[in-house]
Amino acid sequence: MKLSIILAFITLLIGIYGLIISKNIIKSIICFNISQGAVVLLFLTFSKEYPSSIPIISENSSNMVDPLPQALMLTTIVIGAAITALALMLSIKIFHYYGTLDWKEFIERNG
Amino acid sequence: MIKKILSILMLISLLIVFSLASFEALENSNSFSKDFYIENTYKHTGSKNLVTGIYLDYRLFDSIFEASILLVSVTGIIFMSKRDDEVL
Amino acid sequence: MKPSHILASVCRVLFPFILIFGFYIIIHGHLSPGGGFQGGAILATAFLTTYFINFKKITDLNFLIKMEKIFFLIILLIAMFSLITKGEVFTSFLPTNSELKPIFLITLNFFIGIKVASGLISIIATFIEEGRN
Repeated sequence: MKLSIILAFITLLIGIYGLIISKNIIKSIICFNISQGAVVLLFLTFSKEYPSSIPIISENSSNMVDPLPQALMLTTIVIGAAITALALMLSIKIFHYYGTLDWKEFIERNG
Repeated sequence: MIKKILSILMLISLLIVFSLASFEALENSNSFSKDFYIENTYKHTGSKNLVTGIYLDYRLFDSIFEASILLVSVTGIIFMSKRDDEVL
Repeated sequence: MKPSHILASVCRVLFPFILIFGFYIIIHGHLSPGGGFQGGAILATAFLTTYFINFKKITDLNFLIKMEKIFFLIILLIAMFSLITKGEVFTSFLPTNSELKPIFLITLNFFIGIKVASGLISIIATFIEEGRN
């Protein structure tokens, strides 16, 4: 359990490192999605004790996991999809207007 | 070169701090809300799937504004695709 | 861009089954894994496969966004209806301890599923039309 938490944090930091060093807008969006997936993984591993079953009531269900983080992560995934679609459309507009997808060139031309 | 080494050092220190904080949080946690949801969700909402019971009854406020976020983002995408010159 | 005949034929066969699977996921949201958002995403992929069959197809975006707004208002009205029966907003309008409580979950899941499906279809159609010209 502790190992899985550390792995989730390492995935989150890979996403943050990509956000720091990436020069392309599309790569920034991909790294944003990687860190969002790491947060989902972290919340799901926090609430899990081994062995446990899914949170659906049936005859042979015992020791269910906490259903609250799963409901919260459902919200996170839908909002992440909306944000990704909006960011991709903005990057298309930037490419049509400036002709580049590079952060440095974009900032230099802007001011 | 120095910038890269500094950023990697920063990330390693972030990893150590995050891990220590999460282990501390795990040891001091309790299971009141988990017990409440597992015991009462079927009685209160009539849903065998506890996740559906939570996001459609206890936290319906959350789900409705989540749907509104999707609506607003779709509106923004269609606006940006139709007005080519006025956006940027 | 011209899709191959094998892909178009397989998509023609698969389209009704994906639709049925999406509605199954939506309506059984209170008994099995799934619900409104997940089933809506499956319905959107069903409409995405129609672009493999006929790439020149044009989706009416105004109709889709209008439908999404109307379904969002319907969801708000269903959620606010408990103000009349119970005196508090954003909860189930049926009385506690009744056998009919899944009716509320099924109706709300159904409307959320249709709303999410129309939103995702309009996102996909916008991107495809953006790439076309």
